[in-house]
Amino acid sequence: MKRLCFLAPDVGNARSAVASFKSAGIPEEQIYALARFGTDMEFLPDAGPEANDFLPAYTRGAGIGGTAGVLVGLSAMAFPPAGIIVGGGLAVLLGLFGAGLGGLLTGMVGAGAGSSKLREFESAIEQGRILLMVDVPKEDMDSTVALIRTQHPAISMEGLEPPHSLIP
Amino acid sequence: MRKEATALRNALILAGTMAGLVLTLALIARYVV
Repeated sequence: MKRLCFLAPDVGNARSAVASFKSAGIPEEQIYALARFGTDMEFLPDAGPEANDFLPAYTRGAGIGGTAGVLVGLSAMAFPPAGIIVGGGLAVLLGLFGAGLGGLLTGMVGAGAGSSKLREFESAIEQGRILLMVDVPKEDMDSTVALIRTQHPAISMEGLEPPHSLIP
Repeated sequence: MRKEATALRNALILAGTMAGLVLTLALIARYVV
């Protein structure tokens, strides 16, 4: 599956493009629309999990926090503080604690921020344009682009969805 | 619809994580410190 991105100039164009996608056999679950706050999204499938960075930030934070926790636990085992006997369980528990804390904090920050993958579309969305994303099999990419080019010339093709940036 | 489902999923993940953190802290306090 590849995710194609299009920018529609207004809601009307976006709605007719979504109708074209559906009549071309693309299920609604594979279509996402993202618009600025306050836009009437009726008849448009909202972006849902694609709208913000919660899950990518959560997994990143959990990974970093977990690694840091395990490292702290291992160094406590290597250089035990005075009066405390440290076993391997501490490294595991600190790893879990670090993963949880890291995931919690970065996830909440990520939920408040827009998707880092879609940053390049931010200004267009702020100007009132509608970002449409469609998941299509690789072999259907050309026909989907051709469908938009022929039936909806006002909608611009923006290529494939950019990957997540490592540093948000 | 999708937005509400995502918000619920995120809330469940956060709640589960918080419960896990409390449990981990309790285990550290009980067995390590």
